[in-house]
Amino acid sequence: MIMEKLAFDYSGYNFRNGTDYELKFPKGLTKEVVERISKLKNEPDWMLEFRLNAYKFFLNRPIPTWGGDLSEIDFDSIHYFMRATKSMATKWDELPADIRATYDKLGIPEAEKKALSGVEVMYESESIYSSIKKELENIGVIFCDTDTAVRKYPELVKKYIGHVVSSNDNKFAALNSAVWSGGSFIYVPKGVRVPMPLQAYFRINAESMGQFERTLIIVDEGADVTYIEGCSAPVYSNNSLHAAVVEIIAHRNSHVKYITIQNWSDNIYNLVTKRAFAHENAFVEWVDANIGSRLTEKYPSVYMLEEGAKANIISIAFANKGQHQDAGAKAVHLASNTSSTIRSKSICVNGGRTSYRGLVKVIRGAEDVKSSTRCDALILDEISRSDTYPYMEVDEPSATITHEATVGKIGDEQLFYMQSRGLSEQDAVNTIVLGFMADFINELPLEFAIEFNRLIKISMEGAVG
Amino acid sequence: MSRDDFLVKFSKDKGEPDWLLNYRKKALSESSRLAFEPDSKFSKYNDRERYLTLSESELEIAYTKPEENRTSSIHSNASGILVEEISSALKNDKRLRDAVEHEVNYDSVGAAINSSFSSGLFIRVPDSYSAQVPLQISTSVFMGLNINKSAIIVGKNSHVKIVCELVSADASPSKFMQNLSVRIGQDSSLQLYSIQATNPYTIVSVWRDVYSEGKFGFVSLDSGGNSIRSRLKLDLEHGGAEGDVYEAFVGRSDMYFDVFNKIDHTKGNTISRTNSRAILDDSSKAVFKGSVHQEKEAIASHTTLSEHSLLLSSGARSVSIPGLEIETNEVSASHSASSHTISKEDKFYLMSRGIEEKGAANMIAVGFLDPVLSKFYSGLSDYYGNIEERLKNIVI
Repeated sequence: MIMEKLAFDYSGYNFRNGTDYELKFPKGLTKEVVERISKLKNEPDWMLEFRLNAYKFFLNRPIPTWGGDLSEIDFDSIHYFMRATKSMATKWDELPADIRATYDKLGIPEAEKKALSGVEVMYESESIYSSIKKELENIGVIFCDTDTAVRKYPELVKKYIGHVVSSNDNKFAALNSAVWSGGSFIYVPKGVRVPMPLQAYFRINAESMGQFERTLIIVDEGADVTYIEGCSAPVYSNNSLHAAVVEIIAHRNSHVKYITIQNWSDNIYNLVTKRAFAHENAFVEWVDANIGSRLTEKYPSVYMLEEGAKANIISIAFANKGQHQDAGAKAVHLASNTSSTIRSKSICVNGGRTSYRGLVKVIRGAEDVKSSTRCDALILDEISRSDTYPYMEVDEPSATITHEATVGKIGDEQLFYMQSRGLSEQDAVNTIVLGFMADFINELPLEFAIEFNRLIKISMEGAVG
Repeated sequence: MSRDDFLVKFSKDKGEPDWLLNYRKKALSESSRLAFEPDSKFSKYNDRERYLTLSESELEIAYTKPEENRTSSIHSNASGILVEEISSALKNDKRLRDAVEHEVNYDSVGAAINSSFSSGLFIRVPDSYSAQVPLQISTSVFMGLNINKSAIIVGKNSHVKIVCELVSADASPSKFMQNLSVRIGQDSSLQLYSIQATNPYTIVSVWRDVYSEGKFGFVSLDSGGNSIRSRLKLDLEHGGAEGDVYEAFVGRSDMYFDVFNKIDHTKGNTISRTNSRAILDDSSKAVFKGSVHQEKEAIASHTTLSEHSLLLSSGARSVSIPGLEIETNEVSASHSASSHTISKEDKFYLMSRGIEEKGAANMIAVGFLDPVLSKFYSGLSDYYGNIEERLKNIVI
């Protein structure tokens, strides 16, 4: 079968470093672990309280059963904190050679020179490198790791953390709120447009590691920012857990675009809560590609709180052998004249499983809401599985809500057509798969579209015959 | 006396065989074990659970006062088709017993009905039988409880249409709970038409459990009752089996429709098409739960699933969840869902042609249901000259 050879090549990411850790917590989670994390970071009391409250919620919340299989997660066999370097670097040269090599292999320093306004790099539990272009810093743009933000901008953090995703939102948001460490903090002042994207790169290097970054993005009135995050990890036999929380507050007339290229190794549970509040006429875009991980449960959401807010969510999922991508989107219309579009594309192969789970909700009184959802799924062989669970809750008659979806394989006619034009069968499959994902690739800034192609190189050499 | 003792006495008084008593006992214990909505995907949406379920006290009434738990059905003459009371059929008909014993209780309501029914009809269509004229069955719902179990078994190579009407005997509050088992043999077809027009104080809960090796067509119009729960479980178990489901719901005042269609393609070359449509006025609400499963062996199977709501007033609400689960790639599957109101342009167009506003709205609403209503017209107009007029009157 031709499809058996279709796989994303992960070998470029599957390397390990024998990092000497500055500090490594023993496995397991207790109240003391939470307190110790807070103490290590010299946090103010309100943050410790925030963590301890969340820890209680975590203990009381059940493990969700509606999605993928979470039964193998053992919360007692995870390291909740690891520190790799003594202090944060602002130049690549300052990083220990082994860690530096990791990011060189991933091509991050090179990309920074060419196409980024700022870079944030997280290794295990903490950010180890952070930089932002001087001119942006001078006009008040803040881009640092969230731990630094708690120290330097406590008022902003205190005001917004847990504002969009409450600590009691779900079990994994509670876990993150209790033990969070690292993540990006962005503040863009009124009217400032950040010209090039800000990027964060998350890397889990150790086995049985839990990474719990907390990202908080505040975009003030009329401001504009694009943020890109990438993630990867080496392949181990023990599973690691990545439970992030991302909160975005988009004020009046602002625009935020959040791009994720999730490329974890296939032994990572990736359980992430991502949510944005969009105020009057704000425009929030989530562009979310899930290529790696063993199980992803991630539904980027936009709550449109005020008139004229808009949401655009693009969700891409690729599930290979042993992977389950349970991804989707949520658009919650809480005000009149708000609109949302959701596009989901999923591909499963070699027994992988993709699920689309989405919600479009319109509350009573939110007039003239428009929303359209389109999900397409490609199943490349007879042993893979694709599910679609869209939820539409409409309490307002003036809303126009549509949803459509198709599921199928690559048509024989399509393959025949392309082969009749001289493409090999393999090239034809390749072209169709890439064309299927064009919606996503088109949303990337040009430099990243090229990097994306490199990042997820489709390896199909010698597949025919 | 315990609940089980009541059940034993109830069954003995009816002179039921031991297997039937055991069947009821098992269903009773499952009714307390199973959830109202076992599928976790949908368990959030159970607004009227307390009305639509059978409570402990209602079960006790069903066992101790069977005379108050009855439905009455009349049917047209149909030579060749056997129609008899379920109670006598269960004692005598081996195929019916086999079918009933193979049933799986899926949720608490279905199990409670199986444990406590005391009326219903059994319809058996023999092999190689083609009826020209539809069999017509009219069931009346009385005050209080009406727990009904009915079954339709269609043999091989037979073709038949059955029209079921559900009406209220009077204007009193009542509860109609029915389990309907349908078995369709190879190369056969069954067209089942259902019109539910009970009074506005009626709670209706119908479980349709269909195993089809042939063709099954279901066309329904629900415009009566207050809280309505409709469950259709369709298993396409033989290559070439087909299922067409066309349902229309007309909601007024505070009517509530909880509609769940669960379709399983277990074998290859099977086809299902589901089209559920609701027009919702006042503060009525429709919840469409759809679940189509194409299993590994369902190669070359096709499915379409659509759920559409037209909201006519500011209090109306709709929820649609058209779920698909697909385990192989040699299939085609699509679904669609929408929710909207009558567009100003459409109404303006009709009014510019001289139709007053209300008439225009009615026309558009009837037009919205047309994909379902036209199935009634095309299947039944030869036998009921006025079906088109009648259905339109029900809708408006």
